[in-house]
Amino acid sequence: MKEKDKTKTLTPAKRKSNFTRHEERVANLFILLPMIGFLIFTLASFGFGFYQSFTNFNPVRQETKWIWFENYKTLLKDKNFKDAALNTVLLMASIPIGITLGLLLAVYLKNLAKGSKLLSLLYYLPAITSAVAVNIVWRYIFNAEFGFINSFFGLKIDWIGVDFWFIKIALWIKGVWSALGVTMILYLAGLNNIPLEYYEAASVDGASKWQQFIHITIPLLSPTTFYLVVTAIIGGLQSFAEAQIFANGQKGARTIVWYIWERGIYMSKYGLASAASFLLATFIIIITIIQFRRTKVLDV
Amino acid sequence: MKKKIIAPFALTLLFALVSCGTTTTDSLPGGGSNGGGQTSQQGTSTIEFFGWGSAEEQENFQTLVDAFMAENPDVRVIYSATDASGYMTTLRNRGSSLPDVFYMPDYEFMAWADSGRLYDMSNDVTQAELDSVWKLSTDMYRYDRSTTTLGTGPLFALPKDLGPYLLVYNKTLLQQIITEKGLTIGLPDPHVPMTWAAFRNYLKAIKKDNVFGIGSYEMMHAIYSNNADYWDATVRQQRITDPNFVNAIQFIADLHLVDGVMPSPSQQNSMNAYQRFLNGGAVFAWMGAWDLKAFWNQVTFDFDVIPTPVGPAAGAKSTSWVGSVGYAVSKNSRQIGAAMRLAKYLTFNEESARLNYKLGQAMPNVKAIAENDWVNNIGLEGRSLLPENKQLFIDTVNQTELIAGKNRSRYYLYDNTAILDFEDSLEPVFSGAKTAQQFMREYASSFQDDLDENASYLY
Repeated sequence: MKEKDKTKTLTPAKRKSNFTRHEERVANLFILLPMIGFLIFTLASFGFGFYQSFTNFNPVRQETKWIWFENYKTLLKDKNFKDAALNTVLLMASIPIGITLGLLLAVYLKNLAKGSKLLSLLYYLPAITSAVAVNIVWRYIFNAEFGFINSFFGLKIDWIGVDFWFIKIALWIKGVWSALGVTMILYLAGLNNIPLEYYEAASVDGASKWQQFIHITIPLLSPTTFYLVVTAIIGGLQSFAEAQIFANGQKGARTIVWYIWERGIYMSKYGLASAASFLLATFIIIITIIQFRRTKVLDV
Repeated sequence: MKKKIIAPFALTLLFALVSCGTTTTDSLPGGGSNGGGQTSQQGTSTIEFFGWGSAEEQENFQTLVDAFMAENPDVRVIYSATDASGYMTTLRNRGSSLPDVFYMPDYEFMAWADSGRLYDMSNDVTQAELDSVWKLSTDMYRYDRSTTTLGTGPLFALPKDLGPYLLVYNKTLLQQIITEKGLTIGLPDPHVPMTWAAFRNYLKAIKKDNVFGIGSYEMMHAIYSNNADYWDATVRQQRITDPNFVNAIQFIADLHLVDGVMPSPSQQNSMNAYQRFLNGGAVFAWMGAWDLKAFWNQVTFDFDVIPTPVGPAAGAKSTSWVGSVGYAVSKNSRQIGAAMRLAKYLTFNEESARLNYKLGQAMPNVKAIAENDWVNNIGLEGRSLLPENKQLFIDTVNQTELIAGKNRSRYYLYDNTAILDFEDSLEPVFSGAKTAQQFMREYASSFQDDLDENASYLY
């Protein structure tokens, strides 16, 4: 009886057993290191970068001057930055193509009687291949003088040259190829989660394959599509290897991150590069918030 | 409970921060000596020497450093190096803890000398020592901070090397083309510069399928050799609209657009001129003395150097740019004496100069070695691929009646943005979308803005 009364007066926290408390401590220790890493290498760096975007730190003189919004004003006037922003947006045109082709490929592999696993593996290879290696190989494929594409089709197109559009077409092709593996695998996983009963019921009701695809497959894959679109846009806005390795810094392929690298690392204009980074980060955050608000897929 | 969480958190944070900051002298390669050298209990000074270079070059420098330590047993040198492309970024990011001795490329010298972070060596070097090396190379590292004038005032670095960048041609390929085509022209004159018109005619004459006359044309060579420059003597007023300057840029563009003797910009992008030359895809290209090692290792043809062609402008003289890297000593080094001994050893020591050229790394700094040993290939017996006209390197540095050498454009700037952005923007001229005159007229204000920004660092 006494024991019962004692239990009644204990608060929930006090009711925790020694074991639970020990477990909490261990759990806290587990997350401690990542938390420290986050605080130092992300949050503190973020804060310092934000501060630096209002300064014109001179690494040679080791001087820092507070210049308010001058870096931001310079960016908005700088043709190189505007061109890089335009390139970044245009190069993301490969995202819908990659996602559509990835979906079609996943549906095809799902319905394939034999060899789907082998083909899935082959299509997934680009996803696990080094971005540097991929860009170097594609650079050779599109080489104007001895590249595979020009040689095979008998063309004389200067893909990675000064032309504004050819370099983008080359990057779209490469971008679609690179994204196909991940897109396909994620869609394949999504397809496997759709109960077959839906398709059977639709067949009984006389729905064609196309109608089933439009009214069952696509809506039920929308969480996957949402994830792919969000990550692809964030990845697209942060692309760098294409500009640096594939296009060797050609103007038509320079992205915002390439600009940040060039001004920040190559020219040591850390304030300007920090300001560009913050504009990019702000843009990514806004785009992502809009995407989350516009979609209902995560409400379930 | 909160205290229990905070305690390990604080401990781990402390540990992480301490780990980041801990540096011992013995683990310094690429690290730092925290504001200069140290003196151990045995009285040995430890200094850090930081440079760049390939693995082979680093080995060579380690050999030189070992030789220095053998001669100076009271000094321990910790030598480390990085790749050339990342060197300046690494150096800038060292913050206030600069190495005791470090490379200082000519094109970064002004900003560093102006910062007051380089040690003034003027009183540590004798006139006799200075006279033993090229005047052009020592003047290059003088800077008067009070008037922000280069080439005069205190000495802030000692030259590691001095490299004229010269026009080189594939002699084997050229002779083969002349024979194949039955041309009546001979090999280019090694002493008298061709005019631009003569050079264009020469390239057109030797034009052949899949072989370009020249892989690319150095912009500064064309500008300097047409009595033009990017700016006035104060480096504050742009001169890119000057007709001599415009004609120099148009001359380069026309080599591809009109004559078809040079690869298009995109062809140059798909294979650079240097690689094209090594592959036998271009007869002419450009080389510095530092390229000799690569040529010895990679090419199977004879090659030679000739003077830069000269433009038609009044007063024009065949001029090539001359690059250099210096040895600087940190003003905050705690072992200035030891650091200066190392810098002087690497600059003035004859054995060091000999080793450098035998390895194909540079034209010797020490004039006597360059003019006697290097030009006459002493110690290079067995090397069959030597340019016959090595004297041209020396003539370019010494300045003759017909030939001159001049610092590259970036040397004159505190901030390189003006040149980098200018070169980056020239594509419409080289692709034929705009004439050089049109482009310069349009770009002049932007270039002037960049020069104004450059001046804002100094005035």
